[in-house]
Amino acid sequence: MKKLFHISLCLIFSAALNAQEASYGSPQDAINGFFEASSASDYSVRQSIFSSLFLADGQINAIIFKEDQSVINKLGSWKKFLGESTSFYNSYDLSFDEVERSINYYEDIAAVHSLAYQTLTEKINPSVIYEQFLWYTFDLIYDGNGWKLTSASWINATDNQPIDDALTQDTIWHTLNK
Amino acid sequence: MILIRLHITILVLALLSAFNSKAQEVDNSINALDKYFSTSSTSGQSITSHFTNGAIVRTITYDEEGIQIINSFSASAFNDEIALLRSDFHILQEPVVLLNQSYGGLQSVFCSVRTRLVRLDNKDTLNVRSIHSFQLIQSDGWKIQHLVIQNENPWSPISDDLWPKELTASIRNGKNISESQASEPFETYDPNKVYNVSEVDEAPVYPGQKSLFQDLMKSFDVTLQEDESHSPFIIEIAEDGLASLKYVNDLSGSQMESAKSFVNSMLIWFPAIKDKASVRCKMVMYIK
Repeated sequence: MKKLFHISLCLIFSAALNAQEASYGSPQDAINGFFEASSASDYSVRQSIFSSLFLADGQINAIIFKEDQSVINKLGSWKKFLGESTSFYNSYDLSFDEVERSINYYEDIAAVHSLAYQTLTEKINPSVIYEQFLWYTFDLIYDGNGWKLTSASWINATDNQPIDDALTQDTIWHTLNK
Repeated sequence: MILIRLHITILVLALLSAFNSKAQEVDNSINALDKYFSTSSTSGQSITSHFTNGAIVRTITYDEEGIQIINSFSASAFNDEIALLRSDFHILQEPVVLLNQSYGGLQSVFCSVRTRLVRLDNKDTLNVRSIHSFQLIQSDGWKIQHLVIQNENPWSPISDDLWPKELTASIRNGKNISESQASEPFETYDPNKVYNVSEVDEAPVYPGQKSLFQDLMKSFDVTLQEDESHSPFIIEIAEDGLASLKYVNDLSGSQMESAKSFVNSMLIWFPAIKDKASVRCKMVMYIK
């Protein structure tokens, strides 16, 4: 019995170590990890992935874009997001289908944009389903061991403004001072 | 007929309105960035009003051996850093190319930035290139919520897309030159001269990830920084990128053999550039 206890302790310790050591070899892997965590209904899975995915003080910003074009900003750390979204995850199952992804990068920094289709299914009544498009913008840095998210922000689509606008990249040249 | 014409007019107006709404939105958020750069370039002005309350600024720089340093600041701490820099330099910071994406109250801008630091005492000028990645949100106007800044890694120059020659031909990078020299026309390069790194427009670049060259240096105990336990030697990178061993007078026999193996193990470099041409360039290194 004592042996069994020790083995389980070792297994728990080893699992915790693995979660801490998980690293993402490319920005694409990190974004895949983000959507995997965001779809997980189990809090401990979300927590484990986010803790290896984000820098300790990484940010999550959710922006609600209303039909009248006004916005409500929910800004904070990924840890705050984990805590405050628990009741939401208790009520819904979430899934994400990425439609398009683009990336700008230089050396150790990357900015990734993703258009995703989010489906929310009520847990108590699975026939109730909500769907919406979201535009995500991520900032990542390479910290020597792997790519880490420093900030993840998203905004929902409204009927008044096509979400495709978000994917149109304007390239602007600035005239330099002599 | 009148109905059709009216319909077309309404359609054109609707299209114009949609176009203006997108153009207006881009214009406003880009204006916010313009104001940020303008404030950061004006002595005595605080940049904190351009950020949200919980905004974070992260900077990635490299030491002389190419080792990465990551720092995180609040907006006010970052403002203090700029104020500290202003005690020695006049700062001029401006974007070069901005890649802008936005929707509703969220905007992302990935841009190259030129920073000109002019020493207050002798007016020497240092031009620094960097990449900034902004996330802005609408909160009483457009505010910066997150900013990551990476200074250019000398081993991996910023691409032409973000540093187009058409815009930047008159800027020299990382050189201490006085204002009067800076306004002089380009010198023409001498094909027979072996330039120092500080004399060329773009230093030679070792191919691949920077860790590739760092690992090579490590395996032969070579550094780019002088210290008592290492002896100096010089390598030359020819116009075609081939490296060769030059000055070795300070090396012992075994150090010389090791330095030879080090140079022979190198891949072909991207050569130094001066006045848009490949030139010979020498680099000082140190071996144990």
